[in-house]
Amino acid sequence: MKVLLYILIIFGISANLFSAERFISKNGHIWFYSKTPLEVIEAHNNQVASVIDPAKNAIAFNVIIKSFKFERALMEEHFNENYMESEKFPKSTFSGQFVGFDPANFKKDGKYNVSIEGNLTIHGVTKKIKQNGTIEVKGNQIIAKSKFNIKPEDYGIAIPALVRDKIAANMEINVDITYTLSN
Amino acid sequence: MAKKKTKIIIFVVLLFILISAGIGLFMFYQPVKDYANSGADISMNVSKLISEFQNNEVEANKKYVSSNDVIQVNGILKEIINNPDGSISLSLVEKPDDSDKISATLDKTFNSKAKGLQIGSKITIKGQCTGYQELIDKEVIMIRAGIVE
Repeated sequence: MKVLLYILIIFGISANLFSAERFISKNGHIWFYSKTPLEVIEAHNNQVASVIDPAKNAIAFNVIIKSFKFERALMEEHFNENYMESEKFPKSTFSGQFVGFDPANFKKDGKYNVSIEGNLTIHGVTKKIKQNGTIEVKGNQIIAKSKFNIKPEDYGIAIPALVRDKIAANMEINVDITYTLSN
Repeated sequence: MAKKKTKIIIFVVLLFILISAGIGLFMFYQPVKDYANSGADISMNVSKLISEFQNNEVEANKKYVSSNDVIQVNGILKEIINNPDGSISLSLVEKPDDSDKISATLDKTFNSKAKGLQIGSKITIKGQCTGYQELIDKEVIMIRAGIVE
């Protein structure tokens, strides 16, 4: 009985160790464009935190809204105060799974097309989304890239009629994150 | 006489339009504040800023993030990280063994100064505080930062 207990404990510990092996990044790059004939607006966030957990085939993001950098002060102010309301909703998060992806590939060098499904929270509104991207496995590194569109109105972000034709109906979101293996 | 009055009025109106347009353009194109080189609004040690976020994130966000103040912190340099975009981030802790930290990305003009820094030494930085997260480590995030000493 005691032996069984020891075996269980050892297995328990090793299972924990395995799930503790994950790929992390704290300097991921997410940027967006709003393109209209009148104006192109872009902002970059180079402090995105993200984790890939191979054991669970899972991926999570944490994006601090205030870390988006604009060229002009006024745009940054409007983005934070009028649209994203970053004092009320300081973070945007995503938590989801790789769909139809063999987690064994996380250990095999190569470039893979992937599909991710999960919950995206922006401006306090959570939506289930499914997006495509690529991941490139290079030894202990993973480079993940994706590009997709988001409609501000879907997340309860109201854009006044006065500036409506200066802000695109679809924001182009770009993701470029280099993960390193962490034990 | 009336003609002269009209001329003056037109001149004043034009001047007013020109000045407002100038102010408008100035405000519209004004670049973001140079946090790394501006005088500090608030100064404290690393543990104070971290504990304020851990005790009440909503309040700390109001005080240090939404205020757009230049925040100056002093602590011990734990890590120097080279980011993919060519910038450098510093991890500051209160005591060498602490895991809770401030992660500050330097303004690129401070890259050369960062190369001379010693891990484990005392450091003071200032910059823009953008928030708190604990997805990987428990950390307060700063950007647009400069090295004070």
